[in-house]
Amino acid sequence: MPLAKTHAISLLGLNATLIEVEADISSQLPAFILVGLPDASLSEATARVRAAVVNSGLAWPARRVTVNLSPASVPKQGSAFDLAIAMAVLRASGCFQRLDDSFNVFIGELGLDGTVRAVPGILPMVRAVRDLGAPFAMVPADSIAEASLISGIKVIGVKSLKHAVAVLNNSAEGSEFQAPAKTVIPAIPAGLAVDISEVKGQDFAVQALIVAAAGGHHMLMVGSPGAGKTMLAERLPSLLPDLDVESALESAAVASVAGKSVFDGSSSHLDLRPKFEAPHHSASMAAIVGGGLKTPRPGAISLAHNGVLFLDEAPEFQTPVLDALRQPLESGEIRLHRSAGTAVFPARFQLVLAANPCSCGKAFAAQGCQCSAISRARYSQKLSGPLLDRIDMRLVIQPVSALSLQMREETDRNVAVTSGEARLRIDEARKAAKQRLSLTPWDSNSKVSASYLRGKLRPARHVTASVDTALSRGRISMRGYDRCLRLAWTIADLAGHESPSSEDMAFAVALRGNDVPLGGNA
Amino acid sequence: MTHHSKLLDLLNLNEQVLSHLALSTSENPLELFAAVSWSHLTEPGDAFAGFVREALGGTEALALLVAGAPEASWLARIQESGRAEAAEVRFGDASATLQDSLARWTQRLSLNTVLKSLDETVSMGAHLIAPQDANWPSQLSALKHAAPALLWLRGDPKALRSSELSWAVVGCRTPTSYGQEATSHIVQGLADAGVTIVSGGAFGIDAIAHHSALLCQTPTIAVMAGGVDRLYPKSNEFLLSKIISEGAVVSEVPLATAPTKWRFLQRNRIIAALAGGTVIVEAGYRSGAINTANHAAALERPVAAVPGSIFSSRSAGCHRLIAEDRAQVVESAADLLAIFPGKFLVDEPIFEFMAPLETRTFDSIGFGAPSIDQICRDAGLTLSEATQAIGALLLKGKVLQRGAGYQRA
Repeated sequence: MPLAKTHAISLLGLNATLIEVEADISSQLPAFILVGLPDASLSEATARVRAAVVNSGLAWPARRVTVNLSPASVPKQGSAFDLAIAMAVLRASGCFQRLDDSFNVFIGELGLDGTVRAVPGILPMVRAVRDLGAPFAMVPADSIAEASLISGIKVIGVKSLKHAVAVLNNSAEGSEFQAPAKTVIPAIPAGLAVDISEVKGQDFAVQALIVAAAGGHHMLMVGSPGAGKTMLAERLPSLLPDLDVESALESAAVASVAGKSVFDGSSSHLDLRPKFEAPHHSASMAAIVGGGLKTPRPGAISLAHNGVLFLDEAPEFQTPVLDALRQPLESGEIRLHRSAGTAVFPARFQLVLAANPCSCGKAFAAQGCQCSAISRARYSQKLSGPLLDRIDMRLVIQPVSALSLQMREETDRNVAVTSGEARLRIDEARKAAKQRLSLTPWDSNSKVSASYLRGKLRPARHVTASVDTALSRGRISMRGYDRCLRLAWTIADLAGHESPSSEDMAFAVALRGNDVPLGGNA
Repeated sequence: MTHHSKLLDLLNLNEQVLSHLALSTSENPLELFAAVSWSHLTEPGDAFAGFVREALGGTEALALLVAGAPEASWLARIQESGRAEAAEVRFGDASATLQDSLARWTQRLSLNTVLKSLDETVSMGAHLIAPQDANWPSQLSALKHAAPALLWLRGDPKALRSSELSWAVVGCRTPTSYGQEATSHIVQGLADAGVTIVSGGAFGIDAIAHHSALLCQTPTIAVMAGGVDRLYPKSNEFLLSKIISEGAVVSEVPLATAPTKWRFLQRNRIIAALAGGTVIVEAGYRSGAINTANHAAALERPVAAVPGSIFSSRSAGCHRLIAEDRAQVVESAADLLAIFPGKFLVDEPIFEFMAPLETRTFDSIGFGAPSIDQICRDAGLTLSEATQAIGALLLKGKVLQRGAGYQRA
């Protein structure tokens, strides 16, 4: 049987393409030729596959071996094709009794000794295999737990090429996924180790954080160094409810492509907690939005999909990087166009920015700010208007003095809200919003379009009266008005109101914050 | 019933006597009788009498007084009621206050006066509005112990029902033509929204306010300093009788009581408590209207003043109120209507008022720039109260975000 066929998966972004791997053995001078638009790392597969086969004690055909990856027009890259190529060649050389031409998918990189090594992106690949209707997929044994998160397909884990051949010849068992013993779910799920109740003396900010969590509102926190911005931001995920399995799988697929763990801590349960990404301000464009020359990899915005993207010292990021956030904030995904094609990664994240009031950080202090008016103005321009427009909440965080903290400690010992308590309220609020928006394309208040907000969702006239007046007198802008409405709905959801009251509107106005938050606004 | 029968014995009354009186329509004639009696016994604003009525009950206290009970048994009853401590806090040395009060009340004890007053009330068709009455304006309870025991009313008792969201329009007795015009302008705007107009039935601004209300066919209430049978001032008799036929004339003092200076001041407290807010159209530097404004402010009711010319002495009082932050500037009825949001459909107000919570927040901001957490502590507000107040003040342009906190604009 000089011609054989197997299948592999090529990933571009999260989009998978089924690749046919054809092997032909012809009676010519011995050679190994790989055709079908392989990239450099894939071309190296010839060396790895040949060595792996030989070192596994299998016979390499002493003739001309041609392997074609089709469709040839689809660019392919990486080492995930090794196993499929080896299997095609071995089949063509008559190594198996059983393996037929049917739909068999092999994923894995080969070591020179024949070991089958894990590759990134197992999760989206296996999902694609299932969606294409293949009966089974063979994956590296190390990836079996990840692959098993996808239901409705038989996955076989193999440790080595020899193991793979034995499994297909029915002389050995593949590594089946062992469902982990039912572990007792700990009282504090992983990822919730930090708690909002640890924030002392910042009741307003905590309240704001709860509103942000309930409505999915993007948020900017401005405050002097040490005011507690980072501490607050790090506690936002602890307020977010668990993801549903569908969303968690989506996030896990991105993590998988990026070569990160998709599990909850060290267990083999799917991680249901929203992700928290906090890239440093030196991050490049590619690190934030995703990128790479031919084959884009997900950036921080996609890794934060369904979770929180926290940019500390936001004005210190490169301006183009910050502005690149605008499009994904609107569309919930990022499209990276490369010569090889367009990679699409999901990027529906909650943006939290933290900033000092000015470049020296002392603009809010009574004295000590060294910044000139020009440098303040320049600093305030670092966050562009279009970016700020997408941020519903702009909070000013004031440092807590030791004295007031001590006073609070004495009086408030029992009053501090814990993340768990807040999460119950937030869950209720989110459900209420979802219910209300069930006939719309949106699922949270932060995403609702401004026109819908002012149309269908407009509260009674007496509720908006004070905001209407402020608008007509130029005290707030139209966009500010929309943000008030948006926040008021979330506040109403949290309070269990059918629709916002005038008190909810006033609350929203205070949470909305300043139109020009940076530069000390003095 | 034991108290009741005891009181009847003491007063030498029987059911038959009561039945032919105005009390016959009341569900609880004895209580009403006691309220009428207390109105006779005390001067308006007697807070200690109010306290005793509340602690012991009106009839019980009256019975004690009629029986000439010694001071000690009064104190014992107060002790029994569990309100002794409250009395201590409110009146200091309760026994001294009691001694004086008993002396004052006892000298007015006269069954004949009360019965005669009741008879006259019936014969002139006046109504007795007691706290248990459906038309009783419950907002008077803001006066606490100084609340009246009873109101005499001539006209339509239903006029009181809409008084909670009413505006008191008051001012000096000798307005300028500007003041007259401003009064009718504001009353007309309020009338368009169906707001009840409360005033004192006096010359000048009061009369114009009532008159404009009548013309605009909106309910109007005149609060008298004397009895409702003495329509004062005499030259406003025609106006007041019009008010009786289309609105209501009320007073907390019994019939035949003369309007005295003290009673005018106490009348102002009823105006302030009855109305949702008070607007001063024109007032001299030392005017009765300023007194009404002070009462309203003490009750945390909104106070507004119409600005005038700097050359007009009749506007000096208004300007003083505004300068001292005790009143807010008003230019049109819409400014006033916006204070009770949602109750009236209004045009856009020219000036925006601060609600009591907003005022407290605004005051606590002072000349610094506190954060919301600090404001909570300083003003003694909850987080959501302070946040809402700040939001409202931001919208009204009264405060601005400055640095890490909020500053007066």
